[in-house]
Amino acid sequence: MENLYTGAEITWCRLCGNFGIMGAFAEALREISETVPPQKVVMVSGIGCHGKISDYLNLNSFYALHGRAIPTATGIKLANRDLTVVCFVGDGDVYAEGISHLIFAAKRNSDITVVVHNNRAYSLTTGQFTPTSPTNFRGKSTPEGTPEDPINPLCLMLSAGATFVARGYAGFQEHLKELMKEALLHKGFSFIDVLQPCVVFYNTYDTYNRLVYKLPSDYDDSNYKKAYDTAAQWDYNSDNTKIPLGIFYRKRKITYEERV
Amino acid sequence: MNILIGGKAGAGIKEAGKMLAQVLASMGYSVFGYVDYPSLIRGGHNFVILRFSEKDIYSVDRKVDIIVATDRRSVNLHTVSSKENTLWIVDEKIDMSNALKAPFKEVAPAFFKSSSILGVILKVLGISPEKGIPVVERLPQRDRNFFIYTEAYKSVPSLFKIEDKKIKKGIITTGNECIALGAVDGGLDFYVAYPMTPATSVLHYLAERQKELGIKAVHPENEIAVISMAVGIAYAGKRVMIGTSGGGFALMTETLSLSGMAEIPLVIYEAQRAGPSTGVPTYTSQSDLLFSLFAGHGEFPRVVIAPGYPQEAYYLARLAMNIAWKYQIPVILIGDKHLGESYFTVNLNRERVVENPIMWDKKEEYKRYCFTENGISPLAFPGTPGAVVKVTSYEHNEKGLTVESAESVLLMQDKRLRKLRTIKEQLLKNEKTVMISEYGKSDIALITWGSTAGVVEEVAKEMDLKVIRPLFIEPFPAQEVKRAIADVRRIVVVECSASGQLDKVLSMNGIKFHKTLRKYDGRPFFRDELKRILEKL
Repeated sequence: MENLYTGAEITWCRLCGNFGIMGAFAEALREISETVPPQKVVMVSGIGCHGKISDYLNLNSFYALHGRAIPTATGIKLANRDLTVVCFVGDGDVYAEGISHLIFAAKRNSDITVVVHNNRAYSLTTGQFTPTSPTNFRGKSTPEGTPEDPINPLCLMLSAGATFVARGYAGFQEHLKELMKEALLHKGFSFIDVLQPCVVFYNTYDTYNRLVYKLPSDYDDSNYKKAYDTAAQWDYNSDNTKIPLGIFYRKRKITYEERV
Repeated sequence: MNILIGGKAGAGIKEAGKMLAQVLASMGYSVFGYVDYPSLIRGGHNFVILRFSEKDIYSVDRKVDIIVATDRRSVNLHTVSSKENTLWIVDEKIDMSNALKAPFKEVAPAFFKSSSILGVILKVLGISPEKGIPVVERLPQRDRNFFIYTEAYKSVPSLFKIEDKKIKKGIITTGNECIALGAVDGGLDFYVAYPMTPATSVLHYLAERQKELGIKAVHPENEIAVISMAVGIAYAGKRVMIGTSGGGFALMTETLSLSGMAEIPLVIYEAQRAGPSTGVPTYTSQSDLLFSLFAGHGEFPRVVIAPGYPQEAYYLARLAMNIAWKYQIPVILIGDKHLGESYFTVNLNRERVVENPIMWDKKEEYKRYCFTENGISPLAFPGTPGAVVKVTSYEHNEKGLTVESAESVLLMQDKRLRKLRTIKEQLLKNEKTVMISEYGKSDIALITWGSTAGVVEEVAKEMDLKVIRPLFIEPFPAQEVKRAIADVRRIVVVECSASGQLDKVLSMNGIKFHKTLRKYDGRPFFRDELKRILEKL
């Protein structure tokens, strides 16, 4: 674990939420390295600022196409079930370009982990709205605000059959690390939507710091109806509703790779 | 002899054709079957033309000797296929003079038509009823089918005397089955596909036999997922083939380009059908030749292979697997509906040939894209102790990390160009990349490719014309083709394309020709049709 970083120059902006996500993942891996040896880990990333994580971490990686990380990851897991496969994907990446694959991976219960760097903006392409941008988002392609309402990816994943659904916040690295450990160890499709401020195109630190709260320790993550209601508490649009963080739902079910 | 069987879609016409072909093959004949069916489940019209002979044959005639019309529509539609002495066998309810009446509807309501058709034809051909038993026994509801078969057999007189040759030329198979088996014998671990005619039967064939063959058949949500899963599978070290037709291949092209950039071994079976767009889904075409050569953005090494016969499809699918892994590239195996779904009589000698790719020797730090003289970097798979395996869609350095500087971009592009040169040199030198006929003393030569081979080579042999047919389209065996046509006065290019795609490939390679014969109505060239055209030249 000494050489966890490749030494490639890190080109994320100062205070970018990606640092919190990469840091949480590195720490999570360190803590579970006896169960999940880093050599058996494969990162699959999409295209966007988030994807650079493949260049930065000295782990097996497949820096895939925009939107296509998830089926690539399922392919890897199908070919070698000993590997732990983690997708690092963006919201434009996986809620727009590749949404069909996200839904199908959940439907299949493919034994992979999907970590969404959800900054609710296309940033590498210099600021347009994504499927989780709020209605008032004035991007370069929508100067008057977006003509669409955002989707709620947690509700979507619960409907599609995901067996591990969580939300983290890049500003709470320690909490996110715990979510990642659980997700990596979960057998089946695990999904974490990570709220990630983009300091240049959509700086949401203040909003999230004001609104997020952690699910209480007695929260029952086996209750599907409760999970759905909790996921629906915030619609990814309003900026005065509380935003729950934590593991919303968890269930053990036979995986796709076991069934194929 | 040519026999046409026509009837309603869903009435067992294809099945009857296949069963008859199997019976004739079991009696020592070479059989070729052309299957014509529309893209629907019920209500349209299907027909099969079977031609059989003691010689090896690979085509059918448009004008046939026997027409079996199980419904009135068949009579109207196939009058064009009858000649002066054609024997018509029609359902007894159809009013037609000089036709032999058979009780198709009477003895075989709904789904049992195939066994009644078989019974009638075998009797008319003078083939003993025992010959049909093995194929009827394989049908579901065996007893009912057996009864219908026997009743049908008794209902008509015997008019021909088709003898049992007491030899066996081969069994009835299709190009698609042979592609499936070739890939398996080339080390296939996974076949991934989304249903699309005319590639679908590869998926069905392998899915049904996956346990027996020791492979997995996977059917994901769309073609983009198909090829994305496939590159993941290959990155993790397992051999994979994917299959589709033109529309599905169009969806795959972004990832095809990734396979070139990231150097992921991949075999893509592209079964052409009549396009553009949804086109004429269940009919044949050779109109994706240039697409297969140029699909994908950016420049990267690829190999395009075009089998003409099931035997070649088997051998070339096996070779494609090995080429993909040896050079870590996408290999496109381009076929079509005519090769994939027609019935051929084939004696296939299967042999497993799996060459090991160049692997990391574990001596120095692993670099996925390490620079080598021939451009091939040793492989390692994720999970290998001591190796960090990084592949990427971005331009990259030897370790697989993103680069953008002019020098580093040039270095990796040059490495892939070196690999391209290696592929060209080695394949053109070591593999049979072009078929040149031994017959053909006249000064006319035909150049063709893919499934048009069967009819062209049969007619050319009869007319003593030379045939040149590239099996590899990329790398293209330009020198060998040029040598083969050096002393030929007139060169005719024959293909199923409206715009002439093979002739563009020839022009790109500096090969001159004099005339082009193009067919683009979704149907293959028929033997009598091609012969008539060539005789006028």
